[in-house]
Amino acid sequence: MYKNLYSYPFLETAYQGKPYYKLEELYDYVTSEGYEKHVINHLDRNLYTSLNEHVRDNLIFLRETGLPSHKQEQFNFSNLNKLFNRDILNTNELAVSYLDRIEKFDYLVDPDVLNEIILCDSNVLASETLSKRRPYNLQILDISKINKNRHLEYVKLLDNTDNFSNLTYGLSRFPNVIVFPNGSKERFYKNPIKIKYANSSDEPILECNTTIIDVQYDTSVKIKESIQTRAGQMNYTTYIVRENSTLEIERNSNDFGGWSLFDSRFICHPGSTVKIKFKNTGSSYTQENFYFKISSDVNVELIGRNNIFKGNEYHQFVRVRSVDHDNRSIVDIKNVGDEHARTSFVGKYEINSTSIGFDGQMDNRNLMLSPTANMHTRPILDIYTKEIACTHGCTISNVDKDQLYYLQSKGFDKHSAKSLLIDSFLC
Amino acid sequence: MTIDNLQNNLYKEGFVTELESETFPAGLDETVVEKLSKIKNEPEWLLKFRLKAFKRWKEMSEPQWSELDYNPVDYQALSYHSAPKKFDKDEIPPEIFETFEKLGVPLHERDALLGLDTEKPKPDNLIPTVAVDAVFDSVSVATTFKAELEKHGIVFCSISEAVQEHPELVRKYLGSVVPYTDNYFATLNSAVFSDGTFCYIPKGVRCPMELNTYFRINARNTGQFERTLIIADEDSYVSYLEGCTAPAYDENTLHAAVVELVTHDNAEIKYSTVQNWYPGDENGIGGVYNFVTKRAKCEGKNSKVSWTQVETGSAVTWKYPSCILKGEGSIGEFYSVAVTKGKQQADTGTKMIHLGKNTKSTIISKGISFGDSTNTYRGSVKINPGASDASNFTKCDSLMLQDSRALTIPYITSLNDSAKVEHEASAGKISEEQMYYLATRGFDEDDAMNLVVNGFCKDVFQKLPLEFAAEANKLLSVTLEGAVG
Amino acid sequence: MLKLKNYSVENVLENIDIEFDTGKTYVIMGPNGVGKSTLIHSIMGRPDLEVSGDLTFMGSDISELPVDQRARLGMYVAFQAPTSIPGLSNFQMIKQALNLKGSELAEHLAKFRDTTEKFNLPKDWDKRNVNTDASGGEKKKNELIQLSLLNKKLAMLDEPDSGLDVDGVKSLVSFLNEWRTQHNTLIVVTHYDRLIYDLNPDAVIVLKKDGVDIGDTDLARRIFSNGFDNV
Repeated sequence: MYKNLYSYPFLETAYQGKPYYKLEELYDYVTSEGYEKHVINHLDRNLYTSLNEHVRDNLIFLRETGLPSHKQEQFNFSNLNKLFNRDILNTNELAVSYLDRIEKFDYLVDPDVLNEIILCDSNVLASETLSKRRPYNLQILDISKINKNRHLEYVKLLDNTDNFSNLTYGLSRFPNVIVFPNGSKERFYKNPIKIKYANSSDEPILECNTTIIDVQYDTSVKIKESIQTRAGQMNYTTYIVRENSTLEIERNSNDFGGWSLFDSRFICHPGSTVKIKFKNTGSSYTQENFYFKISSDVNVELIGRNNIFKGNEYHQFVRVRSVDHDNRSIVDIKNVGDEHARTSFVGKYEINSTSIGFDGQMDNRNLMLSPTANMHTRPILDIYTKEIACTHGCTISNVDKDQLYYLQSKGFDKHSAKSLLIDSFLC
Repeated sequence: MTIDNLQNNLYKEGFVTELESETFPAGLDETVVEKLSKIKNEPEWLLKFRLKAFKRWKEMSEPQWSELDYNPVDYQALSYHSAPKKFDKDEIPPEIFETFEKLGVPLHERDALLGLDTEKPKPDNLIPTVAVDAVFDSVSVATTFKAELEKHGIVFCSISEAVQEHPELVRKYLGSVVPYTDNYFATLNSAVFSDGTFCYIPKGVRCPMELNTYFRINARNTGQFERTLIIADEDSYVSYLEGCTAPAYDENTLHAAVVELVTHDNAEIKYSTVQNWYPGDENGIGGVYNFVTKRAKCEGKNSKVSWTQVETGSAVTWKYPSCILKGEGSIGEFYSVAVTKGKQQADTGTKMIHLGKNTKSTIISKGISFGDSTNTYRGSVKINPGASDASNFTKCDSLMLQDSRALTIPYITSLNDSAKVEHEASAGKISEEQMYYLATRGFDEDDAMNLVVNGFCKDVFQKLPLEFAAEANKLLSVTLEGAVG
Repeated sequence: MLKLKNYSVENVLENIDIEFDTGKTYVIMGPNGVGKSTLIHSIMGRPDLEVSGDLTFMGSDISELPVDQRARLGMYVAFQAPTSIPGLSNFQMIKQALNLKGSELAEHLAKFRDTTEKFNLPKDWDKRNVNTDASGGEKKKNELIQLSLLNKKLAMLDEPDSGLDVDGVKSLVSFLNEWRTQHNTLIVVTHYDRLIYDLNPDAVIVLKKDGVDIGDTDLARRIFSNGFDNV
């Protein structure tokens, strides 16, 4: 996001008769006695304090990087009513639900698919087979199943990843946790788990899918993610990749009309590898962010191929923060912008003074197909030590006229030639 | 020898000149602005311009978005005017003359030969190649070859003089590229600007000499607010160089200059800067704050402006020499070498704004950092909807000689699909391979590093006028001494 | 000229004794990875190599000397993969190395251009950046041009033939024949039989995993017929 919204009020108090809520009011709610009582009763004081700080950071973060003004009308906080009226920390409402028991999510369920996890309306749904010892033995934990110590461990881990917070993370209940156990090299690689992010409502919701995916030691995991947003939706997933583990993600986002905010945070322990391939077509407003905190001997590959359809918006923030030696990172993102598409890319490499041997590349190439498109790119390097090799590059241009002519001279009509060139760009 | 004890020893320009001067008491309000205008005998319209700017400045606040960390400036503790006591321009006081001689700036016409070296033997019939306007604190103390240049119709004089002798020109162009509302420091400058250079090159004239302005700060606790205005009329050409130094005071000195360039059809201005303001000592005490607004408007078709800068001094540098590429086919170039060491901080770069069709911009930025310094490249390339077939190429490289902080922050936006924008950046150190290779050729560590760094800066140094390329090279090697390790 | 005694390079070579005499030509052979380049660079003083034993050059112990001083004493190494130095031109490097001024400068530039032509390199070679934007063969030729201009007593060439075509090798041989005299020493690391025979070395040194064999061109011939292991 390249707009700093600090200077104007985010969310007016009324728009077309529907109530909207200022962020300050939201803040008032979560710092109110009622909220405090809920949290402390169900969890504990320390957690309340850190949640509070999270919320405050969230609000600032969202205010600064939130939606552009013309999208405000779509960001409807009317769900705040739900918050005021109900106890979102009431753990009785939660349970890991089996696919065949939750009717309202019927439409999301494909009965033939057995290795799928559905994250919907901040619930986690998974088929029974996933938690069975063979072949998966996944631990799928929601707040009712997670013990206090484990809980605090996660809180500490998340806290340590430097000020990254998200509004809804603070507001919604503690994340659902999916744990891939130690030492499985093949199980989750040969049979990738599918994860679907969805929301059931026709209205954008405040409660997002907050998830922690914990890939334990010496494990290789492959996940296929799909994101379907009917109305507005916020997803916030923290991926913890522990020592010597590998996590590969293939993510596809499809535009079903709604807007989408997806923050993915990766905490990479020494010796881990994370490879992500993602595709997005944008939406009325999409913000897809990736944050990496990498310790030592970590290998990160983030490859995005986004063909942003007419009139869609796609904004991206990528931050790789290296805090120790011998990390490698490749960020390679290509965007295609059609008529009236708006895209922005802000990428940041933050390399601290102990990141000796860091080797990084960042590439953002943009294909601008129409004069009505609006494309912005900002690759940033912030480096504190000389023992590194870091490059970045970006381009913005249209389809190459010479290549177009070449294909046309071979018999392709203009449209097909252009399509061919767009496809080859996105390879 | 460590870098630290070289910091101060190296800044040989850090001496102070003792002489009688007229200095305003510290403080800034309307009366100071009025007094300033009166002392220069300025016309009503200019006083109004200053007052409007001052009023605006009071409503503004210092921008906070940079990565720079500096002690706040107490604007009321500075004096806004300091000049050597009244003297006749034909008879420069010996102290001033000696000062400039020490700095290598030729003030007497007979001394102007191949640039700034006044020690070489002088043949009698040598054609002068450099005209100098010397600015000492708030006033221009000498301008050489004015008459010679006038023969070509070229106006080269201090801006105070230009206000008296060519008011219509000044009035037309002052504030046309950097409006008084532009930013905090430009607004301040518009209110209290002291002296600077005014230059007008008439149609079809190619300026026969290098024009050079040399700024020397001397008085303590004064702010420096130069204002330079260069106008190149159709089909003209001028190459201009700006040099600067200051004494090594413990307090920070504020230098907030504004430079405006205008080029008409087919005109070209080459603007080079070798900035060597006092950088502060190894603990970051003292040093000049260099907050400058420099902008060129390529008004005419096929006009061209190139900014070349070598920044080695000042405690804090904050400047973005920019080009507004309005005329069809106009070209903007930015070549920069910025060296930071000790506690220096630099946040510099450029803005290339493409408005017209077929406009072209090239940016080559080389940052060298060591010590505890911060070296930031911040650049913006904006392709507006009307800029069809525009093209930009940017290359930013950061060379870290020691662990320091190097930042690259490019902002690139395109609103036109037929434009091409390309940006490349890299960061790293001198490779051990390169050092070893040069060692096998007999170069010791310092020499090897100098060669590699010079090679690193070559693309930029090549753009400097010949006379100054040598000086820049020398300045660079002096600045780098002891940086190995 | 050069004497190695009880000379070891950690993890690569152990306890070797070799003497290189003035006025002679030596060829070093050995299977890939055995440490030929490492040997050469260790003699040159490359910082990351752990060396022990005696190393004497022209009678004095050089084991403590940094690389640039060894170079100034008259030692030269032609790299197998020459390092690129952007922004530094080929001739500029020579100029700085020899601290050339005035008439010397002009002389050397002329000689540089001459040698460039002999090696069939582009006319503007003196202005090209060191080993940047040059093909493999061009870089190797560049190493030889430097040798011709810098005053050296000991030249160690690391696979100077790789990257050169037939004509290039011919130029290499004629260049080396001109260069070597009674007063200097030439050491060439190579796999190429023709080059070895054309150079007619005074000794052939074969580095093997378990030690060093020293012989003459017959030794080389046997290796070319039977391989390294069967000799």
